[in-house]
Amino acid sequence: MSKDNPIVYVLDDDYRVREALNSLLSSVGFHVEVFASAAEYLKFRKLDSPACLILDLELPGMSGLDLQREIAGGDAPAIVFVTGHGDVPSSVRAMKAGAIEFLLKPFDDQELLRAIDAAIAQDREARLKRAEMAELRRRYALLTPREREVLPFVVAGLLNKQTAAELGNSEITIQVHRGQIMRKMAASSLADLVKMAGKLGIS
Amino acid sequence: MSKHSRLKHYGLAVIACAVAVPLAGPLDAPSSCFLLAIIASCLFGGTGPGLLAVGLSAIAFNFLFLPSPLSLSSPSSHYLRFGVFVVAALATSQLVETKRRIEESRRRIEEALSSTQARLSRATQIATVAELAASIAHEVSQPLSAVVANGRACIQWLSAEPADLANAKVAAERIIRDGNAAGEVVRHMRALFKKTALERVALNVNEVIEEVLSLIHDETVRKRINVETDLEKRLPPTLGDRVQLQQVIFNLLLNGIEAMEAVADGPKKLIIRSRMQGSDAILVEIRDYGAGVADSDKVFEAFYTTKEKGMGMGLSICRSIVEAHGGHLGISPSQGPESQDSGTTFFFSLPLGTSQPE
Repeated sequence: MSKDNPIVYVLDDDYRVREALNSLLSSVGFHVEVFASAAEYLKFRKLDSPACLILDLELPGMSGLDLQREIAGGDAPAIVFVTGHGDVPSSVRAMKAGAIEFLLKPFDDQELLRAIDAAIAQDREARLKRAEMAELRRRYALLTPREREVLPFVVAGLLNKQTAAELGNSEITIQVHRGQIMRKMAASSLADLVKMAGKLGIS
Repeated sequence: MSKHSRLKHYGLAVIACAVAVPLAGPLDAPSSCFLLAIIASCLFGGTGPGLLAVGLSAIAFNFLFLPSPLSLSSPSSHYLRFGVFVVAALATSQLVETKRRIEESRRRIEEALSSTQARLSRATQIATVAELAASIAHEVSQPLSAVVANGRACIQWLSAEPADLANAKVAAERIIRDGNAAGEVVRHMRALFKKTALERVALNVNEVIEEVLSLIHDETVRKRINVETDLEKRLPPTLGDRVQLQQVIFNLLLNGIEAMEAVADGPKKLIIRSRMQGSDAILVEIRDYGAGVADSDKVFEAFYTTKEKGMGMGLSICRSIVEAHGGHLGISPSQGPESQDSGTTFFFSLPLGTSQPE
């Protein structure tokens, strides 16, 4: 299976709904995993693919909203809520906490598929961002302490001569540091390096 | 109050005092006789007639029962006796008046209460219907969601290249199964509301319990209530009206659920148990871990309710249904000193075989 084959987690306590969604989503080419409770879902080792969680609001034990709160942050997939009791406060809470969609049962299958597509697209983007950040942090970790000191001056647009004066080094030393920084951060240009520093929160 | 009846009340005061005068002498109890007259005037006439009776009594007392009518030369003991009489007369009239007022306001409160109750029960009926509608909607929407998803899946499997007939067949079979399940819910609901004469058929009480549990399953999940069953497997069939027995069990379970609504700590648990009672009756027990019942005799009375929005009809209907089956519906409060033993157990018996089909 390709690494980007999207996966849909289905969490519903009604086996009929689980079976039906499993069949429907498999038939349109998703990899599907079904769970009857929040505990089962939490125990499952998540796959490294863009994913979406179809979550029933009312579950025995931990409710859908509780689970949403529990897995918030981290690398939780985007959530599509489905419920038989659509009350306004719950839907507001769910959407505020970042759910993609809040569908009432019986839901329209096209609407569900659209929501899943949107959720997976969002998760894919989030995963890319997370991967990019991880890569940047890995590169930044390669810098020596001195190079990390020099970096802010470089991205602030100071000339080597000015930076050397600020740090009490010779201009040639700063030039060497700068070359190392560009190489280690794999920056193709100064503009590229400035962008990276921005993402890392360095200015 | 009309002028006519007011006159009648003042007349009553005059008559009462007039009756007291001839009686007081022979009985040698002037104070008591006049006080009685004052009480009667106050009680039946009100403040005005009461005060009139006080005045008339004072005059009569002064002229007929003091050794001599009061004058400047009267000894102080006469003044004292007259004073005491007047004070006692006034105090009596005031006390009676106060009592009358309290009773009147209580009557007014009771009237207001009963009209409020009537309005409340109407509101409750509407609320119950709304809740029930939501519950039915959910029961139907679960299988319906599955039907729609399976239908789409079936089409997808069929239109794949090559068509996946095996998966399509499975999906189609599930559509039939879930469609039937939705139909079953509708049939259940229709039966639950159908009003018919008691219809006795041989039935298994455990089945009836299971049917009701499946109806309220969603409600208990939503309210985080753990439902435990302890059903005697070898229960003989009994004769009864399935729908009405469902109603009884439904009602008792809902009561239990509501009783636990306020429970913050401790278990939220319903236990439903069936077993034999002797050799000729079946006993069903429904135990909740709620707040318990304060007055276990009163709960079966019609219109008695401890719920904020209750009609107080549920249990009285349950009792009449159980009794129509020749059984008995009862209640036993919490047993044991442990706090986890709080709550209420409702039980009802159904005799075996003794009830003949009508």
